Amino acid sequence: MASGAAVAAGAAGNFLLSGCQPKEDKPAVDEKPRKPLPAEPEVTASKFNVCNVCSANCAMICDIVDGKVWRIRGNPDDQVARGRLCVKGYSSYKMLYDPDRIKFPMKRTNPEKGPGVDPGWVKISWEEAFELTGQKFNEAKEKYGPESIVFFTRPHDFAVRLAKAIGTPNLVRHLDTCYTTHEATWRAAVTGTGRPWMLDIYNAKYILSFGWDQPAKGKNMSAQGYIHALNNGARAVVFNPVLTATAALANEWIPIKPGTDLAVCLAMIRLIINEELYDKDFVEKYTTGLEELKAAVQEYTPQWAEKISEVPAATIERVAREFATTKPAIVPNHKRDAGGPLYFNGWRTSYAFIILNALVGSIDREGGVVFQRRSKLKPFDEVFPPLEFPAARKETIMGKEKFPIIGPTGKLGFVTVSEAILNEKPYPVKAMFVRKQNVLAVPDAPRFVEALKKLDFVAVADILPTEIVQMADVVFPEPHFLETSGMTDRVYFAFYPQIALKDPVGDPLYDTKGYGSIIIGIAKAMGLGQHFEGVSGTKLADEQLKALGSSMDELKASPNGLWSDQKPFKPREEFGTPSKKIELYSTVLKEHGYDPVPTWQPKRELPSDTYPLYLIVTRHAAHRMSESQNNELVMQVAPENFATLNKATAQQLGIKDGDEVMVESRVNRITLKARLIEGIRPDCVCVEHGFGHWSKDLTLAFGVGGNEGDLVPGFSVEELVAAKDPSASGYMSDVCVKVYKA
Amino acid sequence: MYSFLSQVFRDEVGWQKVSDFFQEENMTVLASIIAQLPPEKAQLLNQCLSNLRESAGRNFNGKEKEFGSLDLRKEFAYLFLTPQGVYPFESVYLGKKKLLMDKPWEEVRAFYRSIGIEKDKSEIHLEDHIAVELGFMASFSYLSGDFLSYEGEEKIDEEEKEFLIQVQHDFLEQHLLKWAPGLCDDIMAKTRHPFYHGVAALTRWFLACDLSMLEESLTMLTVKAD
Ligand code: SF4
Repeated sequence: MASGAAVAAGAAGNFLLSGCQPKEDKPAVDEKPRKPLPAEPEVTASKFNVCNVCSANCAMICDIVDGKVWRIRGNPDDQVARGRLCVKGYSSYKMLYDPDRIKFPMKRTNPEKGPGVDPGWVKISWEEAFELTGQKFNEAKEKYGPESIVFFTRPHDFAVRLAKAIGTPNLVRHLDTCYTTHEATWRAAVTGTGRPWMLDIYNAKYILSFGWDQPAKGKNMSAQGYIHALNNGARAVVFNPVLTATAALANEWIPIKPGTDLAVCLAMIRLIINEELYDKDFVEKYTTGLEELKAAVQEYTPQWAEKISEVPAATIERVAREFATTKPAIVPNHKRDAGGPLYFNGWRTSYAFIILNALVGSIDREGGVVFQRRSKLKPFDEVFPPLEFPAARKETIMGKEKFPIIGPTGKLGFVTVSEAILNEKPYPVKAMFVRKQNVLAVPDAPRFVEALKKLDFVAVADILPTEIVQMADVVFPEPHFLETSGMTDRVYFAFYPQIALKDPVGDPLYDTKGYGSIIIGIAKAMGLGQHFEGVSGTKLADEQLKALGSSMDELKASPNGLWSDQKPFKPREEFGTPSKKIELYSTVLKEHGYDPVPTWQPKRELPSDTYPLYLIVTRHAAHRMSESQNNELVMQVAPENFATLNKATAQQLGIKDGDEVMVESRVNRITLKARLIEGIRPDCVCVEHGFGHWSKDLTLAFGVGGNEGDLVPGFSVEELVAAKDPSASGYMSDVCVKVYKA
Repeated sequence: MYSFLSQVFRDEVGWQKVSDFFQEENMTVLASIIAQLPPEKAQLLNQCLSNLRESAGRNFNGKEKEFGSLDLRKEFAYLFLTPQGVYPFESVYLGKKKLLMDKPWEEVRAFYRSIGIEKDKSEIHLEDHIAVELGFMASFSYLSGDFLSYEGEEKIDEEEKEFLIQVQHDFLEQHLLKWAPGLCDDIMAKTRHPFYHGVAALTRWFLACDLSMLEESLTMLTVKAD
């Protein structure tokens, strides 16, 4: 417990750290005898599908009893699922049968918009929905230019083509709140393209986590890999201000001060280089810039890092040595870990992760961070060659053109969208098409609601009547993923190319249309149908499979619902940088005026007398963002979110377990129930994301808990440019708050 | 009557359709049925009908009024398409989980199957949607030639008639009456429009009355057979 004592001795505002003890031993697994399960009914059909709850897209088998999904299983032959799913996947069919689902296309009759306002829906035909949307989009286009129409969606070939056909460059994406820090740094220093998505945790022997918490968040392949590795004797060390399940299962939990992981990483890099503990073969053969990096990190001694992070220098030294001398070792990263878009220094921390992995030879090597071996799917534009598109304006509301590294990926816009709309910068936005995004996910959600009110027309394609649906003028009901067909490539864990079949579990329950058909319907109504001549999702899937030597028919006939091209793993020898090596001193970052090595930078907001606590945001393993709070089964497991505080802190504040409390930041405040634990730093309050729904049409979710995103400020493009952050990321946890009894 | 109610719950209705329902021909048949009821039940049903008729009369005078129609359309969406209204499914009312296709839905399907019928592919609603259950009753009451939609094309033999009446009786008793009164109460509590208030009240009373009438018909048929 040496590290615990030192942490307790460190300065942490006005708070005592007595209740916050790092753990070093694994808990014993409680093997209680289980009640026998009831007899299983006779399964009448089993259908292959792919979980669409998160982007892992685990392949699943849906067992159907008399026309209804009775059970879902993981497909055992899928590399991602390996025969298992997470709670979100297992419970996903409950949303299929949710009576709150949007049943028909509808239009709004009440022009007033906002929380608590009745939209005055009326049912309309699909034709009317398309015509109305087409007419309104065309009006905006003619009066204010095509760029006044914004796509607020996730990427989809059909939607991208429609945006190009309209001539708008504005496709707002949420990834600046999700992983642009990782994307930008991998792109600059390693790949020249995107980031890797595979963590070969299964084969790792040393797992060094800085806020990486995927097992606790229920990510299927991460959870399985982590448990497998631990059972296989791997050592796991978790730096996290909160004792999450990942930390609880680890050999060692180190309650680091929020936003200071970079300091510890820099000290570890220095030690590994100075003591020459790095993998010399790998570093010599596959990296450049060691000397420049070495010079740049010399000031970052473990003692210096201790002062910043409150992690004892001795612990930093020991863990660094263990990490560098146990093979294979990994610093896993996914999205919102310490190297994610949480803190002002997130991109630097992510770059430090890359360097640590490179120093121990764990980039694209077994047990390390691996590039996914995806199927070479024929691109949409090759299957359906495009016509000429009108020239779109270069200037975007996301400021793509101002961020030379992340801009070209188009993976940004969420953080700045409200300011862009409200300030009409660089020009007015008048209409929006939304799909699979919600108000609650945007930083400072109430401000985004104000931005939405400013628009003349909003069309939304969705499954459930979420908050953004309440702001819509026209609603297109989409099918649940279990009602859809097609195929999906493996990405999150693809050692070899593999494609999984999607076969609907039955007839659609409502008058829904697939996303592709919705896009084509709008295009036709706008007089842009020629861009989609002969285009269909079914044809796309079939053509793509044919180009791989298979077909949809063959995939449907496959006994395991999979197409696989199993090849032995060949580690990558060349990388996508100018030097073709992993750049420990990034020439690309330098060329664009960013720091070429990850030097120290503190987080933006620090505790003050007014806002003395760090806000930590996490995700419950059973919940998927703000999409699952109306799921009857999930809500049994995790019925609300809490303001989780250390018991000692709560005592000082006069707060008892279960009390209603206000959590207030400089932008907003939310009400939550307090939950008191010992496994959190006393200078932090932790809130799970996904709650705080105000749509009364979400019967189970409405009014439960609070949305921590309300506490997080958004930014303007200019502010992000001034931050000199190549990832243009939002700082989703770089917020300090106060907590008091409601 | 069942056919009218089924349509009203299935989709938006314009005042034209409502007004058509109150045509003299329909009213005469309905009056003859109501006359068979005990006086207090007859009075309540008549009251419901006249409220509904009044609501229609206020809004319809030969041509569809745009404003009136929009009101009805909004109310339909509010009541039956958004969760702030009601869930017109037996599964949600009687199932433990308040989800679609739960055990009650299975039982409704089993009932249909037990008499050899399946929902038509063109039917977009689930088997236990109120409109489908009322539609089922409409078809059987038509077949048994007992109600106002009867057009008397074919003579049905007594045994078949007994079977058809028994089916209606059982479906009402085992299904519709188990949940539709609750649904109607919820509609009456939530609706902001007198038309749907009237429809719900009418449905509630009509189902109860129909059960009495079916019971009586069954007794009469048994007596005849004896
Ligand atoms: S990790 Fe869970 S939610 Fe994500 S795809 Fe797999 S089963 Fe679904």
